[in-house]
Amino acid sequence: MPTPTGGIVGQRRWYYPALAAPGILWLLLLFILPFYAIAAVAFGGRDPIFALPIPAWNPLEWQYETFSTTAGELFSSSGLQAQFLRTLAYVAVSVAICLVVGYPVAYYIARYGGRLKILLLTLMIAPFWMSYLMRMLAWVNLLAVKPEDPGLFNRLLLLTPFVNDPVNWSSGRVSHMTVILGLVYGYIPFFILPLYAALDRIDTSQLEASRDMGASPASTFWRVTLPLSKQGILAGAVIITLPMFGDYYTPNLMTASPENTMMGNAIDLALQGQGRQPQGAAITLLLSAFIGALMIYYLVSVSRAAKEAQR
Amino acid sequence: MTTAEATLPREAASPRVGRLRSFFSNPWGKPRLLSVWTWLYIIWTIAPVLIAVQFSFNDGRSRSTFQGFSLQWYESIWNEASLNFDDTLLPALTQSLKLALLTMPIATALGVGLAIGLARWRGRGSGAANFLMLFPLVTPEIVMGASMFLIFSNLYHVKLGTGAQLLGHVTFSLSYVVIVTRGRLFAIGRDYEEAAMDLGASPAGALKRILLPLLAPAVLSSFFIVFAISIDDFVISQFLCAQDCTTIPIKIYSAARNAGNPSLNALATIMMMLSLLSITVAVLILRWFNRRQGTGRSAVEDFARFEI
Amino acid sequence: MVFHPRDPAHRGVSRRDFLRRSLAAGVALPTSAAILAACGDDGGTTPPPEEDDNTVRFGTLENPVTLQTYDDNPPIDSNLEREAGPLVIYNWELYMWKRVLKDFAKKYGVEVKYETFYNMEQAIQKFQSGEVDVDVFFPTIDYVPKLAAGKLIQPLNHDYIPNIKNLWPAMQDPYYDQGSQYTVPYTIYHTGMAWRTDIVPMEVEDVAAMSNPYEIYWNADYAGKVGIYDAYREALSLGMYRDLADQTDLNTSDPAVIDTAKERLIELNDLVGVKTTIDGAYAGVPEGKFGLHQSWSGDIQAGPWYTSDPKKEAGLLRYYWPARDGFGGTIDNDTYAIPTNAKNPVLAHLFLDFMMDEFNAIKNWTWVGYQVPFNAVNPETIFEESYPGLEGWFVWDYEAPAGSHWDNLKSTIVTEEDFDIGKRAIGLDVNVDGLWQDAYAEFKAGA
Repeated sequence: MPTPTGGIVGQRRWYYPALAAPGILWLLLLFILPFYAIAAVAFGGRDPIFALPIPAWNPLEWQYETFSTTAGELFSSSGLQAQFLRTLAYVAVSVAICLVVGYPVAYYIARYGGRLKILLLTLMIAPFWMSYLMRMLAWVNLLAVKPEDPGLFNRLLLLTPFVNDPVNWSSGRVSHMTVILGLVYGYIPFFILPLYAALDRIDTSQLEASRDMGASPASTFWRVTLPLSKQGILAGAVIITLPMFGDYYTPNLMTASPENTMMGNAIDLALQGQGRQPQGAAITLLLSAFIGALMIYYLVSVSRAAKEAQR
Repeated sequence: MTTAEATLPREAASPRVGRLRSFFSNPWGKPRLLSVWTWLYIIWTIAPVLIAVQFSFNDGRSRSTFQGFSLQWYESIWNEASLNFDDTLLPALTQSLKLALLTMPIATALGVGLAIGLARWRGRGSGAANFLMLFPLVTPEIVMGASMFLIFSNLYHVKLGTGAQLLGHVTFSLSYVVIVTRGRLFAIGRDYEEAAMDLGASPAGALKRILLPLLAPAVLSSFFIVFAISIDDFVISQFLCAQDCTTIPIKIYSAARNAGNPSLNALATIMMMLSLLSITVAVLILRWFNRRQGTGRSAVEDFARFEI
Repeated sequence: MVFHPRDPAHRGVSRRDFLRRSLAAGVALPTSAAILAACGDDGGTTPPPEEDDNTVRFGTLENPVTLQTYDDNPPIDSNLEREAGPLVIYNWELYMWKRVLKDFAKKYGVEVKYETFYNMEQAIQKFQSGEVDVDVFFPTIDYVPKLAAGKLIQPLNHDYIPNIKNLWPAMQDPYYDQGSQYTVPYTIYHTGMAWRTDIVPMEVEDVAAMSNPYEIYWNADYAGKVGIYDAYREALSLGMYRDLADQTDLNTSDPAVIDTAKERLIELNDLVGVKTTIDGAYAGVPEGKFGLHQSWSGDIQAGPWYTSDPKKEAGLLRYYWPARDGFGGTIDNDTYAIPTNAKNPVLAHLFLDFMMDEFNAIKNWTWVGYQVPFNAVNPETIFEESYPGLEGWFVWDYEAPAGSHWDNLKSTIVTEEDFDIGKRAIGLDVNVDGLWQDAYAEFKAGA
């Protein structure tokens, strides 16, 4: 970030805050305040007929029973805990795969894209223009197994010597892989882009300097490129990890099995259920707290890195 | 791959003797392996999309067995005489486009203002605002959708429908605009503006005459991003919809769980084509613009550089 | 607070006004209780006066219930002019034939809009928040008493709906709404099982011969090919039938029974990795994605249309409802109702009457696959002889060999007698309902 030059800012102190004000106001009213609505529902009551939530806007009237029961479930052996742990596992594996698959791609485009850079970037962005749900469904149809048709993907696999029977992708242990595939497929472009930006920013003279000092290309990569792209990796990871924690449609579409439900599914089910909105809101609060903690960790690490860079 | 040859390493401005050696000693230095990997990745991401497009032309009802070429599913969108005519498809398409087109200017205007304000305003509160701005980016949609639904129906009394969806979409896409614009601002630096102000321009004048023209590519890519986000959004649209507001993703999701047919593929294909067309036009305009202005980076690159 | 029935717009405003007032009072109780409070009644814990009795009473077959009517929620007057429309219908996706709607639009020269909801809970929530304006709504019967007590649906003026006489007599006077004061029945169905013989090699007789037909799902041979409805009552009822095929109380408040049902479902998940779907019966089984799925009779009736090649596959479909052989089995019907804030109440009444015209109702059935309870429907003959003017229109005729029908689907026809033997899931008290939902959530968590 450029350093401020006091004079102009001082002269026109109101000007820039005024530019930012509508956006900030918008976010306060439509982003921050709605969180309060979640809390009001989680700590509120229900009406006696439809069991719909009655939000408690006044914190003095909050009832903590639903919330503490839900939080208790999360910390004891229960369905909710199982879903939380499964979500953690899915997200961790998906992010790891995104890193392994995506890093080389981002690296290649940033360093060796050359004249094809624009084309490659366009292709990279292309999936954004096809509906996410449609892309998931495309996979569902590729993986579908029917009595007379094992599905396109299975047909390809059956050509290889490793697979002899069509795999039922939506059940048993494989179903976890199927959901992870869906998550990786859906989110990986969001991982690659910030990473690409970070890699593209690396000054090639630093790499040349390293090489001139006799470092092998491998050690240049490990000692210079990778550390310099660490913030990009972190940014990419953050930008996909946190939304994944709230995903529910990917498991719903990919397998529709209770074996694969995530935290988002628990929220979705509770919010849809008659009289379970307070529970849904409580799970949402717990999840938001978790995500908020991850985000704060990220921001702290970013500012620490920025300080180190200044030194 | 033939393309590998075309993509000479950027740093190899002069031919390097060690290139062949580094080919074997450094796994990351092998552009050829990397290029194969990159192209495989691109095929992997795009092939399912192409297959979905293919099934929009299926002569049968199946979305997994291709039974011959036909345009019947396209007809089912607008031809009332068609056997599979579904009169909810066209309204869904219009609703999606309407929302996206309304979201674009609002989110972009708010976001660009916020980005400039945050980048130049160093006073108290800017840190908090910067911090606040990042959260919508990483908040799961279900959390945003549910929270807006709860506050709209319990406190604001916003009628669920197009208006509520518009508020939701702007909120959801605002931060993306800020990120993209901020990246561009960072690249431009403050020199031009300060020079203008040293010559006596007011901040507003400097903004209008210097900064905004320089920001044009970022504004344009913000438009793309907002459009893409809005048109693809399912969760928030669904939470904030009551009637007259079914969008294509809502349609796709409900059909996915209610046995859809290839008319959805046709719909998704049309949307993709519309998007691609508008982007192409935008990119061409931008290229012409860049040539005149001599600002190097393209809008695609602006889009791609989204750093948080 | 006085409502003028001829001014539906005024009703809407008043409702909003109530909401605001209750919010201002810090009660934020947008239900009948708040409405009572806004009307100057204290509506607290003391029992409300007789005419404003807003307690929800669920009828049972043994104890049918006449729903309370309220002075401030009267039916519309007779002989009113019909409104200009457009008539807005709020229903499930694909649950009414567009052509029948068009017929109505043509007959009355109005526009008809078909809006959809994803599930009943979501519909009620949006509906109840006062944020949707619709004229015809399709509540499931467990919600009918609640909607009536919450004054969210209006009593029907039977002068406008003479065609109700076309319904089976029992359907004109259902246990959950004696005298059809607020609702008229829409479709009828039972919950059985549907399968494909090429994946689940069993005939109906084989299943009927099992000591408990519901055990068919608990078979590891069909792993990955078994589905149940993503609906908590249906799913847990299946778990209950698994234990006690013939004497299950589908409305139990006994936590132990609910818990056992949940354990059964978890077992089922461990055994076959069961999937929870909405379309598994009507599309999944016909398409071959599923071998066996819990199925409403109307879902599988539409099956031939969803097979990729009906000539090859429609004959493989089977449907079985265990109640006919002395086991337990669920039966149910859906209803039409007119919301209190409907903008076109007269038109809505006319629509109900239109849909209770035999021909229109049966025409709708041919496409939707869900049967209608009409005197003109003779379960013995409708399958073979069809209905005059609709020959060959039924789904069981779809691509069937010339001059025949898909006989394997005949068991999907619901008879009047079925309603004497079928069990019915009625509305549950909020807390009991919570037990059911929590159990279902636990199952869905896949622990």
